[in-house]
Amino acid sequence: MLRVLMRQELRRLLPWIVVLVAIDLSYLPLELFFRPPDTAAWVSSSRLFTGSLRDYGGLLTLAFALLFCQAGFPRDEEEGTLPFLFGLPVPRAQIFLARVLTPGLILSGEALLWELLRWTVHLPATGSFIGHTFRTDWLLTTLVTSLALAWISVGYGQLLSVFRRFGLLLVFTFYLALSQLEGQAPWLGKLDPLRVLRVEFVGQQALLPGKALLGHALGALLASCLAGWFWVGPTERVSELFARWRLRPPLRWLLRPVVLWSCGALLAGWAGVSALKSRYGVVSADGATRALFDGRVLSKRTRYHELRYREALAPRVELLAKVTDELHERLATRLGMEAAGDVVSVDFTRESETHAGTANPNTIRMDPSAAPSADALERVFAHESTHVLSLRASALRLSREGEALGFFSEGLAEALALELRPNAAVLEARRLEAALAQQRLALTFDRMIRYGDFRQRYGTLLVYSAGLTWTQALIASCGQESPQKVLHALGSPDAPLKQPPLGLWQHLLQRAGCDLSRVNGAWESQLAASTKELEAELARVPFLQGGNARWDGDAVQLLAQADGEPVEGTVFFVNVRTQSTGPEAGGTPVSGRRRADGALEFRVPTRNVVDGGLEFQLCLRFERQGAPVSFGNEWAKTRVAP
Amino acid sequence: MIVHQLRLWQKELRQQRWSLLVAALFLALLGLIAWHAYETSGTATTRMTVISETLGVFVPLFALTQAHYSVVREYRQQTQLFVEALPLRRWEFPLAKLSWGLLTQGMLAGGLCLWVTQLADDTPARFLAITCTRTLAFVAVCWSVAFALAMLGRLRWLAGVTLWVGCYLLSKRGVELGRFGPFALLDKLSFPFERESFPVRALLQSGAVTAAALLLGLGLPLLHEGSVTERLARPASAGEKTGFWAVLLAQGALVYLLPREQRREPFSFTGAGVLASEQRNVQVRCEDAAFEPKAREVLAELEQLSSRLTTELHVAEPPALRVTLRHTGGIRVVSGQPGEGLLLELNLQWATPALVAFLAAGHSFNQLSAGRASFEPNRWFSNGFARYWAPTNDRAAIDQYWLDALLVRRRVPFDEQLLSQWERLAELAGEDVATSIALTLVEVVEQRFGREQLLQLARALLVRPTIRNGFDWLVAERADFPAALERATGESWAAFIAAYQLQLDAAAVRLAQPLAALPTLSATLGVEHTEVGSNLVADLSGLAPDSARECLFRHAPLPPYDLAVPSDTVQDASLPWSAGVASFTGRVRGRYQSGQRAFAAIDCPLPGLARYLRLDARRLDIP
Repeated sequence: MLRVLMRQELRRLLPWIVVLVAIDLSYLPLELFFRPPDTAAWVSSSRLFTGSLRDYGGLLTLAFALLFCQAGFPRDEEEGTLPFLFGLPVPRAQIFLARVLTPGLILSGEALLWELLRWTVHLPATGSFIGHTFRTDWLLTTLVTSLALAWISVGYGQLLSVFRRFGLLLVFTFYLALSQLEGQAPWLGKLDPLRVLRVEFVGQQALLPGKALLGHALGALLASCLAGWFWVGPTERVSELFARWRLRPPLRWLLRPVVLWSCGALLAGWAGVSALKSRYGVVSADGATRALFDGRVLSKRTRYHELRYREALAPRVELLAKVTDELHERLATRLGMEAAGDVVSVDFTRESETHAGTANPNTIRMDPSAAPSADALERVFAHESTHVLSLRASALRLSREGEALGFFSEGLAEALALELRPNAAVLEARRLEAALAQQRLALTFDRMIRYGDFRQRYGTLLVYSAGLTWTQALIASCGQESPQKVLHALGSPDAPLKQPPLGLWQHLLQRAGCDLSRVNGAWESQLAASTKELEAELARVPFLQGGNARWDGDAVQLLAQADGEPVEGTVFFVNVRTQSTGPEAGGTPVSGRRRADGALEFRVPTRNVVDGGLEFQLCLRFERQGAPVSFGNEWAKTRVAP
Repeated sequence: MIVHQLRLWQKELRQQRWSLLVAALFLALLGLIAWHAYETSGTATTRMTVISETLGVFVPLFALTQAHYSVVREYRQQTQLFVEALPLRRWEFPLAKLSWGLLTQGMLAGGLCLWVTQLADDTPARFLAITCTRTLAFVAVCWSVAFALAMLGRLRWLAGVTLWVGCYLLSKRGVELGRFGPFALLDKLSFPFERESFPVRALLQSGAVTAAALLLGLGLPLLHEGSVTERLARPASAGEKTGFWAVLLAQGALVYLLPREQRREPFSFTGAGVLASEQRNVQVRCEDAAFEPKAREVLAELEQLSSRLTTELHVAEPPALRVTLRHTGGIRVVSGQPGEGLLLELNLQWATPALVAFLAAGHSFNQLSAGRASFEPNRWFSNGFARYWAPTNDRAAIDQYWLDALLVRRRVPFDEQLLSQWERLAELAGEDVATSIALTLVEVVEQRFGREQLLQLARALLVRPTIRNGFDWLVAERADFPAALERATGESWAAFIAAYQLQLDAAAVRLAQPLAALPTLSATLGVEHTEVGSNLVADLSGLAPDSARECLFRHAPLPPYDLAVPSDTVQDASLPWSAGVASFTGRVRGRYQSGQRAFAAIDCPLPGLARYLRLDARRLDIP
């Protein structure tokens, strides 16, 4: 009888099966249509190695599992066919089983079909390494994770079908919250069933995500049991029970209103606490820093700015307020634009763990604790004002095309800030940082115009010195007015925005009457000259290397090596992160100590270990003529040994 | 009329009260998530971002949902007939639905807007007015479009997808949709920051879209006394469904088939220091005026290359060639789509005319063949032919390449399979030396079959796109090595390689003296584990050099799988071999961590050889 029920389910889901198969099959013609079939490698379309394919495939499975489950009991109930179904001389458990098995089998079939298609597509490939890209253990790993996801999705989908269409809303909300909050709460990621598709490698050996698989399998089993209890409960349908409750007056007003209003009350509570927190400035800084954010909020208006700050900061901000208009006007002149425009709101009331300042059109946020001297505060202000004005000059495209132009945006802001508030020590420190990067990280223009990849590879600190030196090369080789010409070319209506980054830069510089090769040549010459000039100093900066991690009680011990004798006061630290994109890409610093044998030892909190691996960046910082110099290796990943 | 509207609103409220409550909770949740993200962000500058981020998700989603519940369901279940039976004017019913949606969505979105604005206590009245106008206009445009789509009944998905495809295509063609009315209203770069000016243009555009949507949404239920809407609300027949799928597939094909962007004009240098050819599309820019004679030599060589591409390989329009000669950096090639030309950036130190001609020819072949020249079976012919044909080579220069091949043969057996697998050969011998081997193969082709046959092979393989996609692969004649050789000359690959081996033996006799003068060096690569990390280790041995020898430790991170290592990922570490030392050990320390894989190779210069010789190359697992 189960077979009959499953056949009936299959008939019902047939249109969706056709759509699913069509989606899978469309992959094959597209692959064949757009590139020669004899160049496709098996791994190039594998979910194991390509994050976007893994996410796409996983979401597809999840979405169809939800659709299949929604097309089961909820649809029967909606169409009133549930009594007929329960009227059949079949145990209700079998009905439920058929509704779990059928979608599970369809999605399993889809996973197998997908792999078969991929295997077929890679058959004509002729490359000499192709034979080595296909491995049976990788195929099995892909199948295990894909099949597991299919069944897990069906399990969760059954539970979500209890909430009818609101189940879909719950899933949507969950993923939305995950995208926003995972950075601050990495544990949320563990609730994501798509985690079962993430496979780590040791050499060529694939490691199955055992904990995620087991946890979600148990979760899905529990979810299925709950859904089964709800839809086909042992004595009578629980949903009917609820339906009868709904009719009784005391429960009628209790059920939906109480649930909904209590949700509302919870949200209102959260909102209230958030509002209070934000208004009365609960900050996590140390005592000295906290003092800067004490007191009521004051505001001061200048010609072009409105400054908001806490009472404790009044002396510093009022001093700054005397020069803000002058800085603004000089920057506007330098960028060849009108100083007048919308008033810029400058917020000094919040601290930031990562940035001394940030800017958007018409808005600046600055953390005064990151710029302790008046000179530094003015320079940070000039830097952020450059961002505001350059955004205006480029019709906001400097931000929209941030992937290709991000380094220039920061470099220009740094160059103009140092031009208006010169500081030889800071300038030299930036030169030293760029020379270090050139010498040890093989910094290239091609990497800088892929800003996302640049941040993933080097973190966020390097962009200032790299961008500054490039902008200086631009000014040196193409003239003082070249930055403004570039900005105006970018802001013009016919700017070729759909070009790849290199094409965009070639075009912009041509419009500015210059050549990209000329600027890059000048930049490389400058870096080479800096490296030669600062050779002795560069040699004194220790080489950071290594990175052996192992569990050590309630933390992870990371060992590295600093070769060379550091200058006095050098601080060694390691940045660690759980996400390589978004605001968390810069990582969180963890200080370390240098042992007598030169080895560096860091104790990293265990929450930074994801799937048995730790992502880290070895860094150092020291002072040179009063200006801080920072250097970080490329980000690396290591397995944490037991 | 107002009483009727109020009664109809009451009906909508009764039907949707729980949905509205859930929507309000959902909105509050979205708002709080965005708020939390703002509070914890180190870079967010204004609270108003919460509004744009929340409403950007909520309003379109809620408009579509409400349109479904309020319009699609009503017409599909034909419950509107009960209302139409009441003594109401026909337009009052759709108007009530439209205004109810506008009211509820406006209240929810406006409520959030006011709540956030109230918390941001630096919000002047004008800013508040601008923000609220933008919000309400966005609600109006979203709801009117969703309402109009809902009135299309079974055609709504098709219309919706068509709209989406249209927007996508416009965006791909370079239209900045983010600046167009409805999209610009909630733009994340202007909504939270625009304090002074009303977005008049965006409002007018949104108004036009809203008016068009309203015309459709309110017009359809009134057309022919509502019969059109009723008919559209019926479920689609099997034939219609097939038609929908056909249209959707056609749209999908359109997305892929339409050219994404216009072809760029070839790049041109500006400013001083540029030498341009009068006959050919060639430019050379030299940073230093002192090196102008060298630049002129390069220009002459490239002019000749461009001319020979036309005369010998019958290329009607050779690629535009641009070369920059600099004091720093290495070799960088920027190659665009066919027709866009080539840009080579080279260090003056290495930029001999022969090298420039070889690089320009190789990349021109790649561009003219749409990448097929670098397809692995063709790669040796492409590289070898470019080095053999493009520059002017004399016998002594060609013998140097034979010497390279003979040196590699000491360590790597040249069999039929390896010589057809360029990627493996290039990894084992180094790309430069592998090109030398390819040149010797090309010379043997010319010796055996004549120059005209060689040029014909080049015309067939290197200067036209042979296989661009699956259709070509199935239908067109495949012209890849070694099948192309057999078809053109009648000689099998195995027979050709046997002949090549004989030539190699002959060269070994001819070049016995210089070959014997070159020392035999060896290297072994491995991994060493220490307390603080893992090192790549190379043990080098051989005849002690008279003066220091600058070897290179090349290394690159590898993915778990084995494909050719991209040359731009390979890094070089200096490995100085001191004079008088017969063996030593070099290390790359701590670069690779536990669980990673790395490619490692040792290249050393030999006296009397212009290139680095690869001593060992391996793919290593770091334990």
